[in-house]
Amino acid sequence: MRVLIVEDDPVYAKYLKHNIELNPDYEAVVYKTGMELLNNLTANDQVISLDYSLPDMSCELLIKKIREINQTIHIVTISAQEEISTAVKLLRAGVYDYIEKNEETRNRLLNTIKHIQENQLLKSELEILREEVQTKYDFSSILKGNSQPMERVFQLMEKASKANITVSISGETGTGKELVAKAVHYNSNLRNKPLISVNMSAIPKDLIESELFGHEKGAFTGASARRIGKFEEANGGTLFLDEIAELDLNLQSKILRALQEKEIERIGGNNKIKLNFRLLVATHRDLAEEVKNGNFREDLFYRVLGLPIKLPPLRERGKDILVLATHFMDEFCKENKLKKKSISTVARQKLMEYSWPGNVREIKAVVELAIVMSNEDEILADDITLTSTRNTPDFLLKEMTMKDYVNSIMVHFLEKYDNNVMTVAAKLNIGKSTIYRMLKETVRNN
Amino acid sequence: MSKLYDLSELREMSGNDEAFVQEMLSVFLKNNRDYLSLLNKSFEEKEWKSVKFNAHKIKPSIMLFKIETLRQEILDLNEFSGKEINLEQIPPLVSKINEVLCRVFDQISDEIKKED
Repeated sequence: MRVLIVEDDPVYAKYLKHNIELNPDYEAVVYKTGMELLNNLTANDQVISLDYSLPDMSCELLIKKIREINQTIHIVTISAQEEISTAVKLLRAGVYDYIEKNEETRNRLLNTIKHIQENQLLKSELEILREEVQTKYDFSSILKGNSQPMERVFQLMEKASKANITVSISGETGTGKELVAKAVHYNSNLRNKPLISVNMSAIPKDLIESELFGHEKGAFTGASARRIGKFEEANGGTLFLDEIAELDLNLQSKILRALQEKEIERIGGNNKIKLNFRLLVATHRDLAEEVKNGNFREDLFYRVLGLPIKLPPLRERGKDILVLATHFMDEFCKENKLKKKSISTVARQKLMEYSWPGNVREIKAVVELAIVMSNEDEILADDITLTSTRNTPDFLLKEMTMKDYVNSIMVHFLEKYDNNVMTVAAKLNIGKSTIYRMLKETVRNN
Repeated sequence: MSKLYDLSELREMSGNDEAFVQEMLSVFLKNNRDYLSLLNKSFEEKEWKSVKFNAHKIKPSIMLFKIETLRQEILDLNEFSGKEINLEQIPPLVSKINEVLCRVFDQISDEIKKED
């Protein structure tokens, strides 16, 4: 790193240069006047050690002129002045540090330069990470699949990223709602601002208000210090409220007010805090249905609906099942340094015929387990363990005659309602005799 | 006659680099002789701002070369001339600074000759 020293006192200039260059990573260049510095300063320089009293111009004027050439350079002023007001004035003018000329100057300057170098390193690492995150949340790399329902999702995500509109993401558990929220944020113009995610179902009911709105010191027992809430943390960026349907009605009205007024009050506080953030919400429930059932406020529903993105369940994504299975298999093999494996035809059929109630999350777990269980170069049907926790029939995935479909439906309902013909007849809106007739036919055919 | 300055700080930070220490001594001599003469001139003309500027420039060298007998004097001269207060105390301060610095210049000149 190049350190520019502006010092008209040759004794001190030599002293500083020698000290700085004791570190082989640093090169120090001395200028005797402000003008000499300005003639040589470039936009790439990172640090200046600047003497406060120079013969040709005031320190304040020189700082102003330096900023016209290089806005990001770190200016460290060194002065024999011991007046606090001088230090305060310079720090207000934007200097990075103010160091007095005394026995400690050497160590303080070297520490400051070290801090600047570390900060620069962190900043460049942050930039690299930001780029990586952006690549990671590229639509096509975050959500795999090219089925028609997913094409529609990609189109909506693209629209959601281009305008700062509220987005409501819905879909069964495991369909990737949180990933969609991240992709929308990291592809929007707020990508360099914070994305604050709050999962409403993961926070205890008693704590959620404080978590969202923050609190002042002494607002309640245990509030030993002021705490900033998630709304405030998201200011200037994106707030993602996951599982929003899990909020109780009382809190829904508070959130509605915060969203409408774009301002909040911390618990126990009197000041209104103005906020500006983009809102993304997600739920695995049907929000309209929740409104109908009185579990979700209608006014909040319209406030958060914005651009709705409905993620299709995996069972409706056709060949995406195999695309995802292959993707997760390759990823798992790479992470665990295993040889890549393929999927046998029978195993593929088994994957395609399953209803995937746990959606993408489930298929990931299933194929990872299959790789561990497999002893061959390809995954066989027996390596695939399907452990559905749901009582949903898979018959829709098989190709059958209409008559067989009807029979399967009837058998499913009979099993579900303990063979209570009266209940099943009422549920399916058919006569009891129809059920008995179909049962007789099934027994005869079998 | 005991030395009025102490090079321990310079030696320690340079890792006993004698060439560097000698170079610093030469620069000290040249530079502070100039500043002292400018200080005397501005004192005679009662140009207090200029007195302050030159005292301010001499101060770091006094700290660096640990000229302890002048530590308080240079701080006082810096403050009084800058704020234009206690002006009656400035002549004895300037006198002491001249006396001590001239002896320091002699001692340093001898040290440089010795090295040569």
